[in-house]
Amino acid sequence: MLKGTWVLPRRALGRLATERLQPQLRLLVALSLVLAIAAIGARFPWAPPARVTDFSPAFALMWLIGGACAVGAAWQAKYHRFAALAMLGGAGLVTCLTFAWLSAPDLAVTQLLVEVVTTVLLLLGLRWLPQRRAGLPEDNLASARRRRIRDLVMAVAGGSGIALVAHSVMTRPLVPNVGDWFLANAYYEGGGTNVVNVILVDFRAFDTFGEIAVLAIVGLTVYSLLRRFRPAPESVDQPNQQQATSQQALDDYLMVPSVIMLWMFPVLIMVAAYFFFRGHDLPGGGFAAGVTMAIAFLLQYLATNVRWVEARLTILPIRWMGIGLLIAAGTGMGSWIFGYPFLSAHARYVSIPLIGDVPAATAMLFDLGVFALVVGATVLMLIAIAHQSLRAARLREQDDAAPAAKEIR
Amino acid sequence: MEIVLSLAIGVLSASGIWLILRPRSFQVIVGLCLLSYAVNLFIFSMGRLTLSAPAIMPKGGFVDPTRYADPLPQALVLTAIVISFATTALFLVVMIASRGFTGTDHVDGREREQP
Repeated sequence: MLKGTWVLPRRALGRLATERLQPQLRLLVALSLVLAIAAIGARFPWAPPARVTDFSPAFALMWLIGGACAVGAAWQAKYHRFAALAMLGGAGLVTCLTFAWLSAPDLAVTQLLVEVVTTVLLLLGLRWLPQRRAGLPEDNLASARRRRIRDLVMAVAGGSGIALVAHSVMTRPLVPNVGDWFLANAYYEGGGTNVVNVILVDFRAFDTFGEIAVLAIVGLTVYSLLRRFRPAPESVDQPNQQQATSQQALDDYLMVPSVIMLWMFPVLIMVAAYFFFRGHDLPGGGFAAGVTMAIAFLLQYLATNVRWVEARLTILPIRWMGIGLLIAAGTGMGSWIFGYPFLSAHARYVSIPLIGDVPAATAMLFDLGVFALVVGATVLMLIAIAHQSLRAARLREQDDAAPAAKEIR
Repeated sequence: MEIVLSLAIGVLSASGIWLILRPRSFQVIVGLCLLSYAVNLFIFSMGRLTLSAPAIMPKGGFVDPTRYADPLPQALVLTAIVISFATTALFLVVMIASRGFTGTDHVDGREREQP
């Protein structure tokens, strides 16, 4: 009896456990497929669609491109990472257009901005991966081919299952739900006409508070992981593309775009402010504004180089994050003074000379915290990765300097 | 529209699932991005599709909720977009750090041993 308590688990462990990621993920996908089929397979409502919006050829054409991009990215991600990245961006853009098409302007704006930052992030990461020009020899083994066919079957099964479920839900009529309450009360209770933003910063502010905390934690984790980062030896050298060209050509590289990017800095700050202030009433808000501001900083780095920017601009992203979190938490705790629960918001209009009546909600202050934190976290992550190239350059300089120093001695 | 969007969700998630089962970490990261598009669109579509009626209310007056897009899935997806950016960044950094430590870009940190 006692022996069974450890023999059985150990046997199960030997059979199921593995330290390799792929079998685990495969098990996960297979299990969710089986469970989904078991749960809804027999009772799947094969009724004809009850609610259909008009078919639009342009929308179908758009997704023909989007789908081709997705499949292309899946196909090319092993040997042509850059192409895969471009196609991933294509799929993301089509997703963004879909949000705009289907009356979700807030999502479209945020998706577009996040898309820009994600692409820059992945491009920065590409440099540290091993070069892969020719096919790996083990790709042509029969076992590898079998694995690929099995994965393809699983992917197609999973994709068609999700498509089927999505279609059957989308074509049912919508039952009255909590969303109706949000729509009816956003202006009276939250003081804003953009319901999505009012939900984020007022009705469900606690959720958003947790989310920005997650963002802050991720930013700090990325920063601290990269402080102890050792690049792979063959990635330390200057990239091939830079080795072949002369120093003169490198200095003048993309001269005109870089001047334009430098001049865009104030304009982008303006756009961020615009997104921020209209957020409560029209599409925009703290997230979109924060990512826009981060892109403004990022463009400065792209246009010149790390040393140039940091000689002229002190950004201190960790301080931005701290201040953002403090503003958000402080706004939340402010409602305790008036005897309301954490993060209760208050909205009213105040009149400012020359401008007139402007809405002033405490939710706006909370949104300011969100804005500052998003700027800080995004810039921190991107700069931490960008600095790795600087460190690699410094390593190179040290290597070059070491023999020279010996000769002098 | 519904059939196009559900097919799109299907294609995105099939490409995503295929990629996360691959052995190279860059493939997995692209796969996770594609899966997050698929899941975001899926959650968004739970509010049904509404054309040209964003959830921007008039100032005052009676509001008929059936005339506007459902704001709740949109709010959920908005947070999901930002969080998925954060997880992508974290994964990317773990990927390049592990590449620096182990010298390979295999997801397990070592190449599959040949039988």
